[in-house]
Amino acid sequence: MRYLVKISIALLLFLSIPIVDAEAAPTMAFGYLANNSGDDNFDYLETIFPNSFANSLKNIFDINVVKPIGVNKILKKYKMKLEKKYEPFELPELAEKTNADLFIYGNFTPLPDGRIKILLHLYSERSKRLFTFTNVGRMETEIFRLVDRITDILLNFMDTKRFYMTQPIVPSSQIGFFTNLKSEDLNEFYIPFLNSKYRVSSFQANTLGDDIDEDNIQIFKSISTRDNSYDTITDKRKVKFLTGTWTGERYIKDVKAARKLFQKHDLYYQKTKNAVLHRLYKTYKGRMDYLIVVGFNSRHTNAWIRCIDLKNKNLIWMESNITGDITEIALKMIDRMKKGTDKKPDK
Amino acid sequence: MKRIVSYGLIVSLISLFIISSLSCASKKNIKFSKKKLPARSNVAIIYDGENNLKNVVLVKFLSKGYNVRAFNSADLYRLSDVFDIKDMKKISYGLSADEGAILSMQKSFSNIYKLHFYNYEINKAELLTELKNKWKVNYLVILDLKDWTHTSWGRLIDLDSFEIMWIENYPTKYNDNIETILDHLIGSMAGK
Repeated sequence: MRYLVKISIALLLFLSIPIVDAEAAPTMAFGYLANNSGDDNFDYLETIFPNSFANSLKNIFDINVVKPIGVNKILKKYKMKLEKKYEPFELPELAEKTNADLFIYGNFTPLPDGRIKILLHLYSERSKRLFTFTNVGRMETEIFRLVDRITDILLNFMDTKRFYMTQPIVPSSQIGFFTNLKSEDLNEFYIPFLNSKYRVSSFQANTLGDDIDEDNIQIFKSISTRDNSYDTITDKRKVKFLTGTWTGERYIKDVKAARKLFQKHDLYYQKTKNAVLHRLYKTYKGRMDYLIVVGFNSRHTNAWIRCIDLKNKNLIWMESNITGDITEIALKMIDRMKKGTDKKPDK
Repeated sequence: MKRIVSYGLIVSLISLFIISSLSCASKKNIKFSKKKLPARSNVAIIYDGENNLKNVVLVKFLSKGYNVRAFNSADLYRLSDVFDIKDMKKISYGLSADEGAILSMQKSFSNIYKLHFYNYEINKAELLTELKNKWKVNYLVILDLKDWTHTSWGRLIDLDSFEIMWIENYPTKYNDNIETILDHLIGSMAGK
């Protein structure tokens, strides 16, 4: 019972709903899990998967769930229908129309050797953030095992720690840290990793100190990589670069430059960032395995993490609310890095 | 009356000494060493201080037999002194358009800000590669020497592997001066 209360509070925190409003159970709406295989024989799973996730989460959380058939029914009132695919900027409107605090949808692709790739998007209307993750595992003959696996990932992420991890990070890996610590505090942070046989890269260690404060490092919380992302949703349809009768050649040139900037750093940011990460990987001659962003609060008693695997340029670890002093936080990170996920990976 | 003043002065001095000792004691001496700095290595040293003090640092390394490369002249700036991209963020908040457009442009500026840091780190790493290949520097030494009650610290980076080889936080003692701190840190990185 205590466990249920705890995770219910965690869900409320995730939704950023004040506890005083806890009487109204949050609503979680489910879209389709689109069949990406091109084989119609798998179509039946498009609703079975979301229905199973809905039942599984309903059994754990005190929430209202709306399954795909229910979502379709609501959307019919607006002369709309539930689509198999959505662009992120379409989600706020969808959540508003279905009165959902969370909207989940995605797709699946059966792979050779009885494996399946599931991609899920979890949108929070309150935070306007979209968490996307990919899970590759066995196509279980008993579907509840697969549903449990995905539900576990969702549960971990909805917890106050916002934990998500795809793989352990073994000692002997070379790690580049990017933090808002500097000088002797940065040294204090490095020591436990060095003592645990991790190879700490000179990344950010090669200067006397950068002026990155608690506010600036927050920007690195949003992260967008190939398979996994946690990012703010923006609506490209609302961004207009206006031109009119009185615009001259110089103005047009400026507008084009602004549009190019927007395309490079918002619309196609992932491509832009991948190019930068590739350059980083090459500069370090492929020796730096992981880049870990660690954001500390101003008193250095609480930290959050984002970790990118530089080989495949994917987000592999996210966690928040790690507490302690600098050394304790480093030791907790090391413990997590060695263990990886709580569950053993599928073979 | 004189006696009361004297007692007061003594109590104040003792309190000051205890407070100073406590603040000093709260700083930990920490050290990690994976590899000793080999004798006669080619080193580049980064130290931010007055030029006369820089010379003391360089002389200490030279007198201990290290080949000191002529680095550490024009690059002792802080990131914010050179290019304060934070101003760009402030400008981004000043946009007057509807909510969606503002959010989108803020995201663009936040992303520019992020990439600025990534690119900055890449540029530094490229410079270090150049240091190694063209200037034949094997090790980069970073030193920050502080007064009593503060912590002096250093790092040693192997430019072959880009790895940290040695780290020390050394709480500066009351009777330390720049030379004794340097003797301690150089001895520590050389494994003596």
